[in-house]
Amino acid sequence: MNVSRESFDVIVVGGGHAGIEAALAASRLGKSTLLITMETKALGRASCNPAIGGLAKGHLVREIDALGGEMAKATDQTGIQFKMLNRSKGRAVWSPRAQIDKKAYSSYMVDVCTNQQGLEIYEGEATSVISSNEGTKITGVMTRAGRAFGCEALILTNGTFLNGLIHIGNESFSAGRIGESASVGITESLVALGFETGRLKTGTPPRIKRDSVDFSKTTIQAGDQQPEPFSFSTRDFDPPNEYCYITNTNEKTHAIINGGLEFSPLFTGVIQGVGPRYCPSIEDKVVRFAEKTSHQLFLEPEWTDANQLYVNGFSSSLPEEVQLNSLRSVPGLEKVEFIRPGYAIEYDFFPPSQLKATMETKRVKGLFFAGQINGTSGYEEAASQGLIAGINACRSIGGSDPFVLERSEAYIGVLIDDLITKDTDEPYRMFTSRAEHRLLLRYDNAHFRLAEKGYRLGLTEKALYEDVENQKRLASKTETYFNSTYIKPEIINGLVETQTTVKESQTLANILKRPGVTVADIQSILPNWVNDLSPALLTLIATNTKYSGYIERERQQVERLSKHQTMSIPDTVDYLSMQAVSFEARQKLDKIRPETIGQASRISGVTPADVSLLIILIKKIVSRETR
Amino acid sequence: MLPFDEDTIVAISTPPGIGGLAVVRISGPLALDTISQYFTSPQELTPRYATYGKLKHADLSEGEFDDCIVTFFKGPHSVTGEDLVEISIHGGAYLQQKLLEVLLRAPGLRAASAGEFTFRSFLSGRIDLSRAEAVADLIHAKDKAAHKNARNQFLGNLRLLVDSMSDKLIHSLTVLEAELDFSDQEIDFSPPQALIDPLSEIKTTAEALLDTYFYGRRLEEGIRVPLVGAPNSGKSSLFNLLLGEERAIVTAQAGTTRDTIEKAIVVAGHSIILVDTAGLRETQSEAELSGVDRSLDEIDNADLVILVHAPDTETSIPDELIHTPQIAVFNKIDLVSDHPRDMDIYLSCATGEGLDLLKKSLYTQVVNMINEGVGGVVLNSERHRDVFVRFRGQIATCLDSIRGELGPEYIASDLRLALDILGEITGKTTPDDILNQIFSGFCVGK
Ligand SMILES: Nc1nc2c(ncn2[C@@H]2O[C@H](COP(=O)(O)OP(=O)(O)OP(=O)(O)O)[C@@H](O)[C@H]2O)c(=O)[nH]1
Ligand SMILES: [Mg+2]
Repeated sequence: MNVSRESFDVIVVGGGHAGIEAALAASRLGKSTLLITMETKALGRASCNPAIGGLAKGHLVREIDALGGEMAKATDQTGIQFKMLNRSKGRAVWSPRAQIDKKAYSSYMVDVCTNQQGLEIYEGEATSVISSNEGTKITGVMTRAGRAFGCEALILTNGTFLNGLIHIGNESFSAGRIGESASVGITESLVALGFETGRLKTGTPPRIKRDSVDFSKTTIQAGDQQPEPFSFSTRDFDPPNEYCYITNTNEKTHAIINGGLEFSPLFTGVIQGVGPRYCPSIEDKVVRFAEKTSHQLFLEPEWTDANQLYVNGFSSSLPEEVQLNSLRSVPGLEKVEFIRPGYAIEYDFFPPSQLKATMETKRVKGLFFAGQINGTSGYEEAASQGLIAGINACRSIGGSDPFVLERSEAYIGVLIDDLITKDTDEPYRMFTSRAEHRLLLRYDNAHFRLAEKGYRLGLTEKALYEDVENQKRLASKTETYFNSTYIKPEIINGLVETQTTVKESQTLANILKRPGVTVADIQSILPNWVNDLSPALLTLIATNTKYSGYIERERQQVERLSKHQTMSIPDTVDYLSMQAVSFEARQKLDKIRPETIGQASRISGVTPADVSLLIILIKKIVSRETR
Repeated sequence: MLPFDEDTIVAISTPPGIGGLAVVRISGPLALDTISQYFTSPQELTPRYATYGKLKHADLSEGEFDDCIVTFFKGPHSVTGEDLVEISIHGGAYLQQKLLEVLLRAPGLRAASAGEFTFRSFLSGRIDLSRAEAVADLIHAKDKAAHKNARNQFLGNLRLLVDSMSDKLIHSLTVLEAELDFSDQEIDFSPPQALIDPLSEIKTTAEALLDTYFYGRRLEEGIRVPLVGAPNSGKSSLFNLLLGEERAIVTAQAGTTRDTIEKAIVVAGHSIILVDTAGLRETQSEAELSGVDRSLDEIDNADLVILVHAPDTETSIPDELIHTPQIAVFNKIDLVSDHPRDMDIYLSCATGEGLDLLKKSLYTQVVNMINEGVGGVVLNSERHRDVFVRFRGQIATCLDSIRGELGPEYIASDLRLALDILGEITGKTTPDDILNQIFSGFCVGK
């Protein structure tokens, strides 16, 4: 593809989930944008499992949609099975998940990117960053072909490609993903600028031939009968509902795996990078949980009509032969054939404590990192960061205020705050338990929380924003109605089965608050204008009403986390000389160099007493400087 | 200290133990609301004017707080920059403590941590920046003192107990969180109902601990042991013998002791305040009468009473004594040969016979009181008591939520709050602590 010029406002390196959101956001915000990728047709390639969303991740995708990102729309268009997880739990932890058609997903993204106004694509490999002012300001990027591009802001989203090293048994070779070459040079040029780097590891399971599986020995898993789309703007949603299949490993499988451990790069110490505990390889599971005689495996289609299945739960870096033999002991997989074996990959990452909340590096102005390069895992985590980096790259060029989401506003806020204040020692994945204000951050209210912000940024479409505003009005009208409408006891007792009969009139809200009562139970006494609301909106309103006590309590807690949270810390502060602050805290603060008191308070090892002292000392420094 | 916290805090702000005037301060958004529920006065509270009146509350006895002066400072024009109420009362440690306890029962109030008032003053800009260093030193010093205290046997044991409660809670929370974050995996989750037993146990422990509070306070201030009996029964003589010095006046005349005299001795490692009192009898003498009144007050306030009988005096046991543990002593055994049967100790101050037995009995009583604590722990600080009162309430909320079959994320929210409260003693539990538990306890990962 021809590139029209030598210099852009924003350059994004990498066309994965982070890179795509970053590049789309930047170009949609009116900045001239260049996306550098090794291969255009690999844009949006899902390198691991063929699924988007899931627990906590589904929340991220909804938030991306509310802020004007692309991931939710792409999923709705190319999903082949949709399922709401945690449906038996309360609404706050419901989370949508979809199996996607990987090929369709990627080509959808190729389509969107190539048609995006203001976005150009360069096929090639970025090999080093170019900077000025003694390496404190970014000015461009150099490619393998020797072509240099200038820019105001550079967003690096290199994924697992930086010095990627794939392991299968005793073999290891350089690659970014299987069949794609690694990226060499960027790490070294960043280290030369003073960045700290580390190694992480992740893995992927084998892909098998569909026609080698005996499905009669597996259990079918289908999606929801009435699927919900991810995107607020998706209409007439009628996606396919393709099957996944469940089978289980057994003691024989485990014995074969145990027999192959001497060839495992994980156990022989060849792999140095740290892998995620929540996504362990099968050999890890067999060793660490030796008492478990069986592990569940999910066979997931990689795309429609594919003769290729993904063996979820069987990620491995054992030699191909061991993988194959052990898998053949699993019911239904006796005659299984591989398309390719599972593998582990080690790659460079940059500890994200080197970033500001905008995803810009503290060290080099105009340089942003997003995605796996920051030590995260998951498509959704990557896309979230890409979106925020893209937005802030544009804002830094225009000199606008940074766009930062609070922990109480969005999972994306939790994600980024965690990244920059924690010392990640394993790939970071989002969990609902990481969000202390989880009850406020539901998947179904993502648009209520964020669409207005996205619209003001200039990313979220006007129609979507207006739709959300309209729904907000309806919701508050209905909530008021629920709180002020009294129902006579004889009517209530006829409607809902409760242990105790009701003796006095009660509001609709209080009826909804009774254990086990849902909005469906009271539908017959609701006026038409309420029953005519869309089921999704009505459920959202009912949830707000039912759990209003908890929601109110959370709000109060958020309010109490007040003013000093946002007090900013000058970047010249010398922590090491703060004798009054505990030694551990001084070391941590000096390493991470938080931007605000709020961030400082969340660094592990920094006690509330340390934070109090910090506030005092910083006020003193600031007053001295302004004198 | 929680620098982000906008709670309303309360503390005694006169140095402890100093008699005369005492000042209790409330600072924060609820200060004015709270005081208006307790304070009655012909005048309205006006910012920066001292208002005279009385404090009324079901838990305060009639007349106890009749002469109070309350001054209200409207934020930001107060030392803390927030709404601030100062209550000046007459009276010693006992009344201050009582007022503090009553105030801490008001909704939304919490005991201030060390240095918290000063810190708020600093944040509001009320303390000159040049004194910032001094404030820093103060917090630092308090921090150090806390560490030093932690080595103290009681605090050390308290810490162990709280840690074990906190571990149990984390375990409960882990069960819930694992189900919320990994429900798509094949883990055998136990239902929230399984948490009822462990949580009830934690609640029982918290209650038992709260029950030790009164006694814990006494350990801190000294266990009060008055010597009570008829005039001339030998109370002052026994008092002097136990002290090992001639502190009280002893005469053959009935009605010698008028004012109470107190002096601390150490028994079983604890401070015991012996109080010599006026002999109890009907009398016309005004001075003696008020002495008798004081004796009755002492009995009211006693942890243990030594009731002194003698062959040559007639003891009338006052009503006040019914609920108080006591040691019945029969004195002057050198004078007579047959003794009444129902006494605990028989001794003679003149010969010293039997004194050892009394000392042994005192020792046993004190040791028994200590063992009443929970695992050797008694609550003796108002702040700790406040934490446990809120903690117990929050655990009760958790149990209600489980029984009301709320979703696990709501129960988890209740549990997290309970952990946060406990965290005011142990330090905060972070989401990573919970995730670490999940990863080490469950095989997760697809
Ligand atoms: N023989 C004998 N006399 C005693 C003994 N103990 C006290 N006395 C005498 O009893 C008299 C009264 O003793 P106090 O110690 O003053 O008695 P009290 O109970 O303090 O009397 P009030 O202060 O007047 O209530 C004194 O003369 C003592 O010497 C004893 O064990 N034996
Ligand atoms: Mg006397």
